[in-house]
Amino acid sequence: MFARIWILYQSRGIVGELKRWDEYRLTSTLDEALTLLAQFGTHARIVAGGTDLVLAIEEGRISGVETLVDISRLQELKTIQEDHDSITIGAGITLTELIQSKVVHANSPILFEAAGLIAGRQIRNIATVGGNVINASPAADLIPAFLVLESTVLIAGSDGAKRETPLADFLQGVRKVDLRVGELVVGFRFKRPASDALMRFHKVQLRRAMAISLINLAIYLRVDAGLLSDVRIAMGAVAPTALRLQALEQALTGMRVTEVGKFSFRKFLQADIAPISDFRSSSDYRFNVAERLLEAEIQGLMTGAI
Amino acid sequence: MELRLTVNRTEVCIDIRPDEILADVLRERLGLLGTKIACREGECGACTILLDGQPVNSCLIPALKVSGRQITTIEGLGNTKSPHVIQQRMAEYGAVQCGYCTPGFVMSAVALFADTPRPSRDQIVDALTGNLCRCTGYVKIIDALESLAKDNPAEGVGITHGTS
Repeated sequence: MFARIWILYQSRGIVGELKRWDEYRLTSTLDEALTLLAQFGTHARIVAGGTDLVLAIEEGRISGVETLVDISRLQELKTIQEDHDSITIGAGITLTELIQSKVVHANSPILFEAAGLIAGRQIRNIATVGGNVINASPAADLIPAFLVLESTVLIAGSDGAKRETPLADFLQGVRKVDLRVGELVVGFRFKRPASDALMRFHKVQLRRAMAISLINLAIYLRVDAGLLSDVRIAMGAVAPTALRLQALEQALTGMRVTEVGKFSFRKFLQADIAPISDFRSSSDYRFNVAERLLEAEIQGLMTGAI
Repeated sequence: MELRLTVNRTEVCIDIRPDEILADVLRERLGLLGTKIACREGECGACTILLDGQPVNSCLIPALKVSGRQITTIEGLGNTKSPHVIQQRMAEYGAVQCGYCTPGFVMSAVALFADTPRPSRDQIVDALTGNLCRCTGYVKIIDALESLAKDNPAEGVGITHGTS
């Protein structure tokens, strides 16, 4: 115990003998960053805002980092682009920039709602959209919102290689994503939501700010001639990755709006989610809250639609 | 490695190790001890500084990340003889007990008033969510800032108002 405290003490501040990393490279173009990543391979780690990575290194959860490649100044990752049918959000956009974007506000308010509930102002001013997704915490707040928008992940590799993969496939487990050595996430792209789409994000947390979600929920749906259509529901912190609730989505699709009040969510939720017990809350609590939250939020959206 | 940046309107060039953290550089290399370190995990806001005018937690920022940028610390706002209006108002309202969190609160408040010259009580509370205080219970801090918002002159409360 004392040894651990001593190591923590030594690793902190300037007097510390333990190294956090050997080299820090501030890059200014995407090509430069990709070249460095190809050159250093597994010895490099990418840093954008750094609010997750620096903490993980300070706490010893990540060690042996040789080179940090800083991508926070790459203009190629700092744009929010609006085409006639799709929206692309650069991975280097900070959470504050996301919240302030008129394009996001007008077209994907669910991202705006989710980003505003992350951490506090000081973190949002530096943490990035890409970082929130790539760190792949089961409780990351932007991920359920991107999942219901059916976002893809835009990835660049060395020698001009590019690929685009659905976010649902990109997420592979707790803090695990489909990103190979030398690759960099450039942005996220999704179809412009339908103009009549109803969207809602809800975060269950123990404090009003600076809290990690016990559960988070994103809903996207439409009502067509009194029937639910295009139902997309994603939840975080109820499985190793945030995920779409497919059994529930199928059960709700085509349902008459007036019947939603009598619908029992429980059976479908049991097929879709498997929350764990941890120091934040128990599995039972998460399950019960998930059920009540869905009832309340879907009912709430219906009230707006009728 | 060489680090060049502007701290409190003064250009600084110092030699640092590549893995130093901004809060440590400010405190230990530049002797600016007003920026406090409490949790060192981005939770408490005691280390809040302004990076190009925006509040950030300096305990989570690699120092080399801010090469060439503008930093403002509590020392850049005012001092005991000539306090910044926010410092003055917090002193008048007794919005300080142990004082360890205070520089962080002042920096967050300065950023708020720079964007929103007459913030509502809700906006004040919202702007301070990233700062923890274990003594005051927050009421006097919020009261102090609300009183300033109410008689805030039209020209606002910028960081240039401090006569450091």
